[in-house]
Amino acid sequence: MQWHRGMPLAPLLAVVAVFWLPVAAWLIKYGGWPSSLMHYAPARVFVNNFVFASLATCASMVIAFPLALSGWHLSRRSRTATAVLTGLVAWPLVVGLLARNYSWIALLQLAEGPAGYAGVQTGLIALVMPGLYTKTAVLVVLTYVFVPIAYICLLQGLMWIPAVQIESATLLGAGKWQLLRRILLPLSTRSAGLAALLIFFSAAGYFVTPAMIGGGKYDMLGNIVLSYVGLGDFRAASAVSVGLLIALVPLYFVAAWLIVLLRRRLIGG
Amino acid sequence: MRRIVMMLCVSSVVAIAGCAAKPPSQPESLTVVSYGGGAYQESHIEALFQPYTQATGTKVNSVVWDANYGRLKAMVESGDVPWDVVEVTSAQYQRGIDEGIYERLLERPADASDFRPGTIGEYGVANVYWGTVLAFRKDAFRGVTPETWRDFWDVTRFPGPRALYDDPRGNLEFALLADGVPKTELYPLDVERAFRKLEEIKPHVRVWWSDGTQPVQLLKTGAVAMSSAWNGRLFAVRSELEDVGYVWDGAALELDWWVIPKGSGHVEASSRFIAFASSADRLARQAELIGYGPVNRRAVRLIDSHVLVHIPTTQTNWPRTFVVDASWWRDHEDEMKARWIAWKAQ
Repeated sequence: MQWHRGMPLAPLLAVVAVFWLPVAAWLIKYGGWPSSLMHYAPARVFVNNFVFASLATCASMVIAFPLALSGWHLSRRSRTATAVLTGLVAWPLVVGLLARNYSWIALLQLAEGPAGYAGVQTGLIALVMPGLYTKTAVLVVLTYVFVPIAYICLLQGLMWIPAVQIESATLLGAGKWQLLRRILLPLSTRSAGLAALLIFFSAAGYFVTPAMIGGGKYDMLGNIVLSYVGLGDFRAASAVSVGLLIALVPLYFVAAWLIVLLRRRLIGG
Repeated sequence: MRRIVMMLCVSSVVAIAGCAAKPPSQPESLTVVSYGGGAYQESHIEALFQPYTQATGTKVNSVVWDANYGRLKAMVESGDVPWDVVEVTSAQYQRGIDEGIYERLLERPADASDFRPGTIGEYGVANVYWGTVLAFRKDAFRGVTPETWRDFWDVTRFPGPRALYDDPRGNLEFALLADGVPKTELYPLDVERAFRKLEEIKPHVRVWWSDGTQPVQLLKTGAVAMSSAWNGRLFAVRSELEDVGYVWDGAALELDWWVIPKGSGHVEASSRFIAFASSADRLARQAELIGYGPVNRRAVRLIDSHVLVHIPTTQTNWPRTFVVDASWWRDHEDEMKARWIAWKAQ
């Protein structure tokens, strides 16, 4: 089948019609504009939201990268080994978000010991684990939620590096560290960037983890939208949502630019 | 052969369509929506739905919801309303009337004179009084037990983490009571004073709870020493909660209302159900199962004496409580919510 330039048009229109228009209609109907945004959600909440999202993104990428490296390394010998590793890392995605959050609640409460209501943590576990309903706990669980996604994206990025470059490097005498520093890292930055953006967009709208693990003290923008919806104040909710959308617009352009660059490198055109 | 198959298909489609288009005056089932929480829904099923089905033959489909007003409003505005009768809070009742999402009732309860004043409206009938009480772990404080909201704020005599509902409603009143404002002088609320008082307790609040089951769990596991809680939830699991006590002093009472969302297909049958559910014996039975206070005064007399201590509308408990002023909150809830969010984020 020949590739025509107009081919993406139909799916694009479908996405716009099914996902964008109804949401836009809803937001416009309730007329909550970001001009009143500061009234509904103070600047501090916005800042916290993006700080949490950034920290979770960075941390999950840092944790997932060694895993992805191992997966890539294994794939050069045996595809099955990679598949098993991928299965193990990605398994939490199958389990589902609520179950994962509840498990963390149970785990973090374990560290608290019998004198739970004194808020005191006991035992050796207390040295390593944050307490439940703390900022650290929220960040930890938020990071944990995104590690499988980071792993999959990073692994894919590594797999895209043309084998011929790896081979030539090894033939020319590159050691393991040199390979990593000069070939793998530079060539996977673009897909890593895309992965980071993907995770950031998800994390910026997150509300489940802050609600369950944070005890209502570290609300993110999603929680606030939910509060207003629960009250029936759709205007406030739409103002906050539109505000979030607009704040992320510059990043959409960065993502688009990265995709174009990546495509050029992969397809060469 | 093809034609026969085609005819069979067409006629079966017509038959199915015909069955679906039933005359609305004889509904096969009503969908009645109660709050969640296992015990509460079961109390409705046993005290209201099953007897209704026995009396009228109409099946009742019991559904729960999380009292998310936005969801109800969105449902009505979209025009697709699968719910016939919904239980809403008094705040949502007022708001729904203002925003026009409820149907007018076609039937009034038979014994209207037994009802407390202000509990029968054009768009709904009040169901029960439920209270937000001060609950605490009995073993948390050596020898002393908290008795009022002033004790909740007293971190020297009663040290330990607290939990409060994640909404200004109720909390502003509790703060004012703790600051010494008499119950009779609560409304209109002195918002500045309330927030100043709340600022004192904020560092000690470990969890801002948003789900009815949370205070029960938090107290049971010992994650907090004191918490506000909905009395019905405490009542439902009282056999498991030996270490947890609660007081009626300064409890905030609110009404629940049965309403019919606009666009429901069975307004007449729903009105009839509401009238049935508001009768004295039905409410008494429900109270025995869940511990909320019926608005029908005659119902209170029919309740088992063991349960009476847990009911907010009895002679002993009623004077110690106060009723949350729904009209003040109707006027101020939007701005209070925005202010609450800003305050919590500081």
